[in-house]
Order: sequence, then structure tokens, then C-alpha cells
Amino acid sequence: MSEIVVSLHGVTKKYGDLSILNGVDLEIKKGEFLTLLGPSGCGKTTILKLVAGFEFPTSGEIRLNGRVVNQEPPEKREVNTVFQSYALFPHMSIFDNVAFGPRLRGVPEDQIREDVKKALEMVQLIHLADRRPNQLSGGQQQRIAIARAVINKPSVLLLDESLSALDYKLRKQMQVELKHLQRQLGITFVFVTHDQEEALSMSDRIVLMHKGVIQQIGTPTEIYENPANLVVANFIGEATFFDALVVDHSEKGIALETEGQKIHLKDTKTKAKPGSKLKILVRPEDLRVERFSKDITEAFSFEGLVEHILYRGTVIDLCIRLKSGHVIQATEFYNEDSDALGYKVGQAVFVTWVDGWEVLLEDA
Amino acid sequence: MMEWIRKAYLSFILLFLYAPILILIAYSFNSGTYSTQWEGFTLDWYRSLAKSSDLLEITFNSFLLAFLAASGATIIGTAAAIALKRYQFLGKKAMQGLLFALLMSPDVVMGIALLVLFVALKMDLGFFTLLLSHITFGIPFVIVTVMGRIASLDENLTQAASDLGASEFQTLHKVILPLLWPAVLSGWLLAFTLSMDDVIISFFVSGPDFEILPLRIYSMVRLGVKPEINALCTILFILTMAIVFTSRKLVGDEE
Repeated sequence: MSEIVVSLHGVTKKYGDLSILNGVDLEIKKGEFLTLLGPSGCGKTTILKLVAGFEFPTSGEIRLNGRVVNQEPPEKREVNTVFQSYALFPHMSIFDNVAFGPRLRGVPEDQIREDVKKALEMVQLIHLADRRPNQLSGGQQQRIAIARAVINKPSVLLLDESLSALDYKLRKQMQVELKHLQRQLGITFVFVTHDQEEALSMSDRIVLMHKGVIQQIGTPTEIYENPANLVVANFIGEATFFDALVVDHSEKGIALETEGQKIHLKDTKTKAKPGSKLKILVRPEDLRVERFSKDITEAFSFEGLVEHILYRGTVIDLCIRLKSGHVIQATEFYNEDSDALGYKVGQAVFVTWVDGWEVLLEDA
Repeated sequence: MMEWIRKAYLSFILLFLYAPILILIAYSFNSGTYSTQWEGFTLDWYRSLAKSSDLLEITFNSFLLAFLAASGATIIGTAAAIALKRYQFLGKKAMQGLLFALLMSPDVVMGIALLVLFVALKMDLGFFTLLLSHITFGIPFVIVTVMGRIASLDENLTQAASDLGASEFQTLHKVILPLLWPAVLSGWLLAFTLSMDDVIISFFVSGPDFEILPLRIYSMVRLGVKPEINALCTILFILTMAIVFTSRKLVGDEE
């Protein structure tokens, strides 16, 4: 089994009466890229601060490399942080910024020169060693902040919304670079973001948080394909929901009533009692839209009218008002072979999905 | 039209502020002894000033006192500002409140209070009582100046320092103080100039052994304004301007 670098056990953080974290349990494995994802105020940055040592937990236990570090100050922890504002020292050159950590540890100056050179080469900014931080662009400052942290060879590198200050193109580029860097260094990265796309594309595992509680921990695929609950489903990706009532279930599947129809799905995981409410989650790109009911190969379909068409280049988004009045969104690939868009506003269509591609969630 | 009004307005304000000083400077070169009439250019008053060893010694006294008082106030004030912004301690709120009370309190009150204290402690009035008093009234000005600068610093900088392994003292020494130094310098200069021109408090706490310039000028003026005083004030004014400009330049370079 892989080694655990950081573990949080029943960690709670309160400011007065305000509870920021509620009994968080989390194990961070050596060498993984873990992302803490959630809306602002969900407690993700607080976890980062607790691991870094800028804040101490109200109760619970934090372990770093096996030892309890609850009240240990940041300078004693083999953890380094890349701040959202980068926090480079404005009165020092780039070289001195990167050399700050090693100098404090009393590394000989010859060794420091070599290490700093290596760190700056790694982020491809060796030519800027003599500059001051305010002479650098945001992206460059970001990379220096990373170099300044990783030169200390921390067990864990904490990144606090590190890419959110960069423009879109640079952010994309830095995402690739960060991922590359993490593989190359083999250091555990704990990355905090509210950007789900960033989380999905970079992480080995995602911790999805909401209101101080972990909602789900899993690989990006697990989180996207099998959201544990409605909070996760709503936060990650686009989702279309159908309200449903459980009619019956057996080992062969589940019978549901939705959109005024009785349908049968082969899902056997849901144990909801007959009569209870469910939400059927289908990703917009998993919905099939057909113009003629004869083209429907599934056992069920819902009739509706196209209300809006959003052309997005490779795909089109259709807003469809079903007979029940419920408006859903479906994403269809643009048919390159036919000249026509294929859909018109006001057109009658039939909507369905492949049985088994949906997720059934209990209606909280 | 608007441009013209703006310029006229600005000139008027500058004139209002600086006219008295300009007149003083002009009269320091006036050859007439008592009159307020212009009687021709002379450097006599500067020459007689240079010959008066008494006045030179007193000027030196004032500079020494201002230097020591400003340094003392800066050390104590900077430490207090950092403590007030960075740490939580008992009585912090009260201390902040008292700080502003001290800034606003009339000099007469301060002077009498200090005098009463020194008498109660049976201290001889002289250099030390002056120094202690000047440090005392300089401290709040330094605190306010330095606190303003701390407030504008990114809090993450000190966190970054400790994150990279710096102890509390190393963070102070390598990050906080270097970043604060323009404000520390400004605070020092403020305390220095305040000490240089204080009459009221010094009046209460000085003794016969250690004379300082503001008090001497004050007592000289009571017998009528001599042209030497005009010359002396001109020199003081030019020195002050020089100090202000250098400090602006130093602080400006840093930012």
C-alpha cells in the first residue's frame, strides 16, 4: 500500500461559534496530486492552513509523516506553500527569494548557488535570477513561488488557488506544467481550487467539499461519473435532473415514474423504498435527442419542444421543454455531414438515454 | 479658463503657506537692524551667528537631543507598532486607545504631567529629563507611521517566511524590518523634527545646565526679534527642507 503523508482525523475548526470544518477525515498518499475542490467558504483553504500550520485545529488530529502536528508552528513542518498572491519577498532578488529556505537551514553557500540554479532552470527562469519580483509577470512570479517552495524538498507542496490569478491561456499552460513538475519531482501536491475543470484535468484524486464537510473523495472519473450525492452532482459538470418516484425494485432493476411515464432501468444499486423520491441525473452529453420516435432504440423516451439552440462550435446545446413543462439541457454533437443544423426552435423532439448511463440519487 | 483658475488657486495656497517663511528669509539678509524696512543686502547676521559660540553650542545640544530622542522613540515605537499589529495580548485595545489620547493631548498637559513626575521622582531637571520627555512624545508618532505601513503589507509575506522555515525572530529580521524601513525612517524623521522645535514641553522639563535652541530662541524673541534669529531660523528651515527631501527620496526609491 502506498504510504500516507498527511492524515486528518475528525478535524474540526471553529472561529467562535462559526464552524468552518466539521469532523474532516482525510488521508493523503505519498506522491499523489490531490485537489481540494468546492465553492468559496467550503473550508478547503482552511484544510490547507491547518496542514501548513497557519491555523490550529479546534479538535481532531493532524499527522504529518506519522507524527501529530496539531500545534506545531509552520517553520517546523516539512511542508511548503505556494500562496495565491505568490507572496514573493519584494525587497529581495529572485535568487535570494529562492535561496531563502536553504539559507535558513544553513546550507553552505556553494550548495545553495547550485540548488537555486537547478530550481530556476526547472521553472525555466534562470535568466531572471537578478531581477526583483515586481519586474516579473504574474505567470513568472507564480513559477518563482513554486521554485522557492520545492527547493526545500517538502513532503507536501500546498498550492492555494495558485492559478486563479492568471489569464485563461496561461492557466491552461501552467496546469500542464504543474502536472509535469509533480510527476518529475514525485512530491505530493495538495491543490486548492474552485475550478472544477482544473480539478478534473490535473488530479489523481479529488476531495469535494461543501460547508465544511467532505462530500466525496475519488478519482476525477468517479466524481464525474458516479457523484455520491446531489451536492457533488450539482457542483461537478453540467447535469440534467429528472424527478422520479420509486414504484418497485427487484434484482432485475428498478421501476420508476418520471415525466408522467413509467420507466424501467436496470440499476440495482439503489435501495430506495417504493414510494420514495429520487432524482435521475443524466449528463447533457449522454442524452439522445431524435426527431422521430421511430429512431428511438431505448424502451422509453420523453416528448418535448426545442426552446433554444446554442451553437458552440463542435457541439450544440439544446434546451428542450418536455410535456410536463420541465426544461432540460441536452448536448448534441454537430453533424458535420449535413449542411443543416438539424434542429429548429419549436420543433418536436424525443429525448432518451442509454439505460445504465444515468445516476440515481436520493432526493435530499 | 479652468486651467487659469486652478493655477491661481494653487499659487494662492502656496503663498499663504510660505509667505511668512519667505519674508523671514528675506529679512535675514536685511542690513537694517530694527526696522522692517529693506535697507540693503548683507550677510552680517550670518557672520555674527557664526561668531556666537554660545548659540552654536546650544544648536549642537538640540541636534544631539533630537537625534537621541528620535532614535529612542523609533526603537520603542517600531516594536510597539509590530506588537500591536501582529500579536494578541492583554490590554491591546486599551493601548491603542491610549495611543491616540497621547497624540491628541495638549502639550501643556504633557509638560506639566512630566514635570510632576520628575519632581516626584526627585530627578534633576536637565538633559535626561528632556531626553525622556522627547522620547515620550515621539513614540506615538512613530507607532502611527509604522502601523500604517504594516497594514499595507501582504500578510502572506510573513506566513511565507515561517512556511519556509523562519523562526519568529528571523521573520522579523529578514522580512518585516526590511519591508518596514521606509516607514521607520519616516517615523524617525518625524520624531526628530518634533524634538527640534518643541518649546512647550521642554519649557517645563529643562534645567539650567542644558540649553536647547527652541527655548533660547523663545527667550531671545521676548526682548525683540534680532536679525540673528532670522538668520538662525533660515538655516533651520533649509536644514529641515533638506531632511524632508532626502527622506522622500529614500522612501520613494523603495516603492
